[in-house]
Amino acid sequence: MRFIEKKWSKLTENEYLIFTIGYESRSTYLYSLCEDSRNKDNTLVFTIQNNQADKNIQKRIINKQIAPFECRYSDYNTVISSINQFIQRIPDDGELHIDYSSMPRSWYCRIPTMLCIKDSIKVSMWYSAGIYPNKYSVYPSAVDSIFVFSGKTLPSANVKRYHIMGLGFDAIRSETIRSVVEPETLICCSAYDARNQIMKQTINENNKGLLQSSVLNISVPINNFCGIINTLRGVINDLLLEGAQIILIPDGPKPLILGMSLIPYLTKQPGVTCLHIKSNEKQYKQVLIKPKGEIWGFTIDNSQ
Amino acid sequence: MDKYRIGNGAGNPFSDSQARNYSDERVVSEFCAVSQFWTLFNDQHEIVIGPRGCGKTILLKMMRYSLLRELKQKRAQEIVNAKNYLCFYVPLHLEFIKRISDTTLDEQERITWFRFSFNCLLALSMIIEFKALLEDTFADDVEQYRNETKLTKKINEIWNLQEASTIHTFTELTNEIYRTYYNADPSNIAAGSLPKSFTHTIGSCLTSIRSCLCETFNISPTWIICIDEAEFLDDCYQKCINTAFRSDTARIAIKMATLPYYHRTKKTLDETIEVMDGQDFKYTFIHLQSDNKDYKAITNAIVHNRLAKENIHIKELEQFVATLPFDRYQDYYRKEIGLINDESDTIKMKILDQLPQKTREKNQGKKNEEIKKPLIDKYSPILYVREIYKKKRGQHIPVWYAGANMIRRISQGNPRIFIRIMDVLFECNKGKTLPVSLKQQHKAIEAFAKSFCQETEALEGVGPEAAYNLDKIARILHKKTHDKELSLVGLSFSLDENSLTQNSSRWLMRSVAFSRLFVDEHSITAGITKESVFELSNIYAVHYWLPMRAKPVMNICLEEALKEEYIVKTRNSTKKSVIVPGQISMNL
Repeated sequence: MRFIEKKWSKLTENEYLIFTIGYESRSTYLYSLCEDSRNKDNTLVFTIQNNQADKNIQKRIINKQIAPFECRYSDYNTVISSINQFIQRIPDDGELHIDYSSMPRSWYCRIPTMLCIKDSIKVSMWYSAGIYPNKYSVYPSAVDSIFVFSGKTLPSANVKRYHIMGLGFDAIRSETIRSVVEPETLICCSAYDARNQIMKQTINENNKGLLQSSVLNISVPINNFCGIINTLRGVINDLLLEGAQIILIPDGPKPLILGMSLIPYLTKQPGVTCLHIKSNEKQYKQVLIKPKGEIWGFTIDNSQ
Repeated sequence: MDKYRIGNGAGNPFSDSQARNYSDERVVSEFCAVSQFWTLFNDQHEIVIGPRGCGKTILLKMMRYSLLRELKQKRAQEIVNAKNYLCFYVPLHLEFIKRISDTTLDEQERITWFRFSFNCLLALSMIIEFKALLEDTFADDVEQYRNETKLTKKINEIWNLQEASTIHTFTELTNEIYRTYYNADPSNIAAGSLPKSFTHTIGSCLTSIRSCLCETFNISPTWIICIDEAEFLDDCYQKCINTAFRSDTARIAIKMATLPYYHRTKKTLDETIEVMDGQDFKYTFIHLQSDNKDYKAITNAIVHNRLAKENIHIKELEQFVATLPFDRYQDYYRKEIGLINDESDTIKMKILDQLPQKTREKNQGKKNEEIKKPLIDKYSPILYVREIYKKKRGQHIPVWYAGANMIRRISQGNPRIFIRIMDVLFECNKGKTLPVSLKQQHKAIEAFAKSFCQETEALEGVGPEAAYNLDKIARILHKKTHDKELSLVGLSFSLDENSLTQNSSRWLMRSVAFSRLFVDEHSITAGITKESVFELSNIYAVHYWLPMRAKPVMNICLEEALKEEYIVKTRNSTKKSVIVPGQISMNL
């Protein structure tokens, strides 16, 4: 599997779109840019139970006879199955676009590896950048549990373990993860837009404690998915050469979470594991993210 | 004493506080053998309980033969030479256990899969120790190689990992175990697809080769399996371990380290049988008192070893932080308030002055000797906190949370918390000479306490509830401490029946596991009841300005709102502020 950077351009009627309407207004931003080309044959929409915010856009979607699928966060098998059914209608030379901006990670992190799609069909994944509050106290924070998303490890008393933690604005959440996982040798990873130094400074400031106790801090470009993958793979290959085991704990912005989650699959090495965090839904605070007006994406190339 | 200065760019030797990170060399160099360590060498199954950071991991790691032999202590050498106990360290890391938990297998298949996975892990741990044993048993390289080949061939035959006899070394055996584990598919546990010696029972990979080990090394030990991080085990796997407690494992003892309340079930794989504390296993609690000489030795060892790496050669904490002579509460109080010479009369007057009228009248006129124990000793720690808290205004930094004893007291016998405090002290003293001044200590410790209390929100699953309720409890105790009248107050509390729900039990238990609260051992083993008495940690006492003493026990109702008093400034009042009577309070 390879990834190729792609620039956003408005979708035509021959191009297929999958996206999710969530409580964030940016969840429908990409759709709104190409609404006139959307119809019931070329668009698949998911909504998350109890989380729909924009009733107007839902009405417009329904008026186009596009029937949204209502799912819960945990329904990733149903979602993947629906997607695989949907893509049957795509012709051999067709193009599929997936906007994962408002999907839960249990959905979008599985998509690249679980799509049953012909190699001739181009698949692109898109992320609509959002305007995030910098103050970490507004974030969801509460973590319910941590589980293994991908990879397999047989630990040993004399094998070194590295934990690579993704960082975001939510410092309390990062501390929770640290208190549960108890990283051995910690490597912090943050993703930001190089044009936005405030984002970088905020992440660094909010996560000062973690950054101070890490042996290495990696920065990756949030708007360049290939850059994220290449940087992570480079670091991991070096660590594997040491004979170490690596545990990835993705958090922060979605492109970083997606990139980190795919690493065990891409490296295909035992001893590389990815853990996912499940939020405490009872304590979950909705953080309303507006679209920034930028869309970043990549194409998946399965031909190699 | 030489004057040491911490360089501005110096790495912080206290930034790393997790024993799991440590290389074997570091574990040995930092290890301080407390009396409880030696008691673990016995034939009994034990569940070793202690909050995060109390030292369970380092104790279990050090029990390993390969590390124990590096310890230059008489008792360690006796155990190593006698070889009556041989220990293996088995870490059940989160990513390992959660991976084998998250399957769609039925219960029997899950048990088989867990046994297989556990035995793979145990096998790897055993090989590390066999290598050390081989080096010590056979001085000659050729003899070592010959016996290694013979032993690995025999083990491979018994374990049946590989059909052809291509395994000659421990390295090849290790690789074969990895290959077997990584190639095994849990969704395809057909009969016979996994080696029987690895699926039979917990520890069966050891029992199956025990006699050839004894023959090779000419030993007859008790084999001790030290299972670490057992808090990640789900109930099904805990039952597997409980079953091992009940089985006739003939000189295999299990020491299982876990957090308080994480040994959730006593059931075994036979639904009709449960393990019994005192018969099938024993609970061992790891909790050092801060004034215990073992803990003093541990903290001094940490300071000495870590600072040596920065070329700062000091032996004890008292050389790192400024400490007043005698290092008692009253010494810091005297310094802060400005008392000199004999202050016992002054303190007595202050106490009497602030007591409720009846108590004051009862004790006024009595001789100092008469009221020393029942009054002065009892109330003075509370008085000190009150008085110094009143002085804490604006930019003024009092000298209270300072001194070596105070630092040990705040860390409350938990080495990891101690290291975290040292981390903050080191960081804030960069560029300055040692010892860290009293004011710097107070400032750093207050900042650490604030951060620690905020992190309560981060506890898994129940963080926000725990943070909210602990804050409420702490503020109730704060209010009582700093009320107009002096009264007996400590950190202990019990909850009324209405406050003890299933929900509240969850955050209470998590708070105990993560050192926010302390509770008696019976409440840990038997569960939380309305008789359970909790104690807020001393770190909470720092943040909320509470006296660091246990009794009395205050009964608290969490359902009752904490009534806030509002201080309102009125234009014409001669006082700076006044509480407006009859003002409506908001329920928080």
